[in-house]
Formats: sequence, C-alpha cells, structure tokens
Amino acid sequence: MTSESSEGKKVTLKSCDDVEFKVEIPVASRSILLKNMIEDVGETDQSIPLPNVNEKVLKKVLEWCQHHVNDPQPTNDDDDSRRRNTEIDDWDQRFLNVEQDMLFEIILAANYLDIKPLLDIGCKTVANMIKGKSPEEIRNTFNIVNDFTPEEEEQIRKENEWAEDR
Amino acid sequence: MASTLIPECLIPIFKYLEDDPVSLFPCILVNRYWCRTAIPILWSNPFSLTKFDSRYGSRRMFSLINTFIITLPQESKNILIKQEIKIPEIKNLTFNYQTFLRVIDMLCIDLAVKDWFAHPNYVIL
Repeated sequence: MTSESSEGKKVTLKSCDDVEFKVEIPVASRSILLKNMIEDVGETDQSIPLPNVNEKVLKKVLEWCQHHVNDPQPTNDDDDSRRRNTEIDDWDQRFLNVEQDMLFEIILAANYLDIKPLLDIGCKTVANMIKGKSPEEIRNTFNIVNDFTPEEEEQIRKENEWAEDR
Repeated sequence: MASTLIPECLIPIFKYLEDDPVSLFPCILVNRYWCRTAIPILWSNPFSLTKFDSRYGSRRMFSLINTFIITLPQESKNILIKQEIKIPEIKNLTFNYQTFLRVIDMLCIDLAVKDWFAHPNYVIL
C-alpha cells in the first residue's frame, strides 16, 4: 500500500485498557509493527488490539508519530550513524520531558511497536541521565535495588577496573 | 522503574555509552541484571586507544591486560609462564570476558602489553 492510496484512510487502534484511537494510516505506519499488520490485513473495520500499551502511553506515542509523519523511514544501515548522533531536536526534547515512568513506558512501547527513531531518542535520553553518575546515584535515580553481595560487587569492580576513571 | 526495562531496551541504552567505558563502568555495579546486560557491551571492544585517553590511561591498560590474561586458555598461559611472564593470581572470573570481544585492535594490545610490563606493579617471576 503506497502512502498516497492510504491518505485519509484510518485504522482503529485499541489500547490494553480498551480505549480506541482512530488514526490516519500514515501516522500509524510510523510503527513498523502496525505498518506490516495494515499491509497484511488490508482495509478492515476491526480495531487492532495493542495488549502492551495503555491509553496514556499510546496517546503520547501517537502524538510523536503525528509530528514525525513525514520523516523518511529509517533503514537498517543507519543504525550506527543514528547512534553516533547524540543530538535530540527541540521538539523531541520537549516531548520527552516527562515523568521517568512515562519515559520508560514510551521506550517499551516504541520497542514493542517497532518505532526505531522514537526508541533511539528515548534510549539516548536515558543514556544521558546515566552519564557521570556513580552506581549508587544510578540506583537512586531509577529506584533500583542492589542485589549484589559486597563480595560480588567488589570482584566485578576489580575485574573491570580498567574501565574506571581513577 | 528502570530495572523493569527489558534487555531489548537496556541494550540500546547502553550502546549509546559503548565508546565511553567510564560512563558504562558504574552501570555494571548497579545490580546483577544491569551487570549481565552491560558487560557484553563494555567488553565488545575494550582494546581501543581512544578509551584510554585519560590521565589514568596507563593504569587502566595495566588492569585490562591483567583481566584479559586470566581469560586466556591454559595452553596460552603455559607459554607465557615458560617465558617467565607473571600471570595474575585470580583464578575464576565472574564472566568469561573474552567471549564478548568483537573487535581486536592489535596496535592497542601491543601498547597495552608494553604498559603492562612497564607498570610498577608488574613483577617478573
């Protein structure tokens, strides 16, 4: 299905908490998962259930898809160049300026829906949050429990001290 | 909560830090799950000169070779021992680090080995 023929046509997505969203096909097709489903199934009145995404997150993700509807689809070859590029544009930065739980839910949804550019900027944002922090600061930031024994932690530190900046 | 991020998401996050071992290092000490996920990325290309571009570069290269030598198979260690090269004493490593190597830069290994021999903590048997 070309983007021209799908213009104006809509598809219905259903979040895991049973909220339906009517979305233009080019917007939904930012998700490779949905793009492939739509191409396979063809036109249908049935809604597509998304068991891993709730209403709040789906709304947010669709807002991103709408804004980026005209971006070129990424190819597998740009994996490295996308990764090296650490810039996040202003709109995306504002878009991701959300509570931490929401940020993680966006990343999980982008992964599930296969929206690589959104997954990229989400991961990049978290990577920037990690930079410059000690293990304890990372645990506090992300609310993570340390399940190492002191001996294990010390041994891993010792085996990898080549990476430590001291 | 970040600890619930599945590896599919934690891996790309860590990959942004792939060229920056100093930022990746604290990740391996966060908890077991982060450690298991970050170690293969930290060790995918450790022998890279840009990674040692710090005032602690020599000490860090020494530490890298120390761990790397322990991962060598016993036959290789025997060759080194015959040449009177001192092998670090730790026997069992937490991970089999060498299996994560994806890139080997011989120039960097050469420099790292020279640093290792020159380091004050290195003692000939």
